[in-house]
Amino acid sequence: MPFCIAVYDVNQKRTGKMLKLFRRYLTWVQNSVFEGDLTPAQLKQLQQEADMLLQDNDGIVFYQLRDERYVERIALGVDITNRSRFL
Amino acid sequence: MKKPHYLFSSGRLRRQHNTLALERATGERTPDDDPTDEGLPSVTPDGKNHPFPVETVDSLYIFGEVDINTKLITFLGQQGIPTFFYDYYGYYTATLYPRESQLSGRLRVDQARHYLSPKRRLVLARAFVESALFNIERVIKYYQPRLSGDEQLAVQKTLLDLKRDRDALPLTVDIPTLMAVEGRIRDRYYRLWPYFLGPEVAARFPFNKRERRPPSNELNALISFGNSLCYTTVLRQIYRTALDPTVAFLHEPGDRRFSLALDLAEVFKPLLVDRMIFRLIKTAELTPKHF
Repeated sequence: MPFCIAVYDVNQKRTGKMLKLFRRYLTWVQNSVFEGDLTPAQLKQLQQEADMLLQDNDGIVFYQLRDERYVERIALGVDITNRSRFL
Repeated sequence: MKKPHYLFSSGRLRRQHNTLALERATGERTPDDDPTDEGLPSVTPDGKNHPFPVETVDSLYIFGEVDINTKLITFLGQQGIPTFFYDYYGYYTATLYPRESQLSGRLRVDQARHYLSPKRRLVLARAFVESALFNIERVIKYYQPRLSGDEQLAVQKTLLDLKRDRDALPLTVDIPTLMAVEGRIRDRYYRLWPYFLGPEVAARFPFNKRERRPPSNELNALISFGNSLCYTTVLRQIYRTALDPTVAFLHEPGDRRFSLALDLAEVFKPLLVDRMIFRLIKTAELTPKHF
């Protein structure tokens, strides 16, 4: 399962829109940072929808890992992420 | 990928910004049969708001006391997310199932026609057994290199026997003979289990024979439970198609059960259930004292 980290830097006017869109697919990690696993199709869908929102100097970076097992995640200070399927 | 989500906390589940959000309750949860319960929310949802990605939700299992409204029901329906509700004591109460989107009378008639024609039925039934055999061989071949000596020989012999069974499949003329071959295959396969488990684990989980209704020992119970999980998983996938889950080909379509799920589960049981059982008991995540 591909694991992905998404980071965006967009004009203040559009951060709300981006947040709403990304929250549908991924888990919020920090302001404008998301992570989670998606199927290749879902990722493409997200990318297309995100691309439509982009304007001027906005940019998004997606990091893709072939599997979550390759990730070593270290969080310092407050970590608000909860990716569990058990809520 | 879409996966089931399990909600154990209480609160209010909402549609928020086109995704799902659980507003956690701070109060304690009360049993549904509490005499002071007036059907009103017994919890004040002033806890933390926890949004989670709707696109990754396959289905929802709600064990907490959760308030929902029509907006959410509509949203779940649009997203095709079935929701299963359980009461305070963990008993299943209801399902909120999205409007059946995959309906096709034509396909349903064709499916029944395939069942009624012995020739067509046999073709499908054979395909199920053949795929199951393929996956059984895969499990065997996975464990084969770890064995040695007599065990290795036994496995090799079984593989040869299975090959002969495979050759016997096209010769079967009706469902009962096909079932007999299928039974033989499973029997040979189950007889290898003690070797796969190794002497230590096999001593903890003795396994001589596959027995059901009721399962006679821990390992048989594990297989039965695992299989039942496999059936519901398969059923969930059948609902994605227009197929009628009650009309089956290998198994006889009966009453009050989804026979097609049984047919399809045959294929996946060795990979999903059996491998998981091996892993759970070999790593001692499950021990006999859990039963």
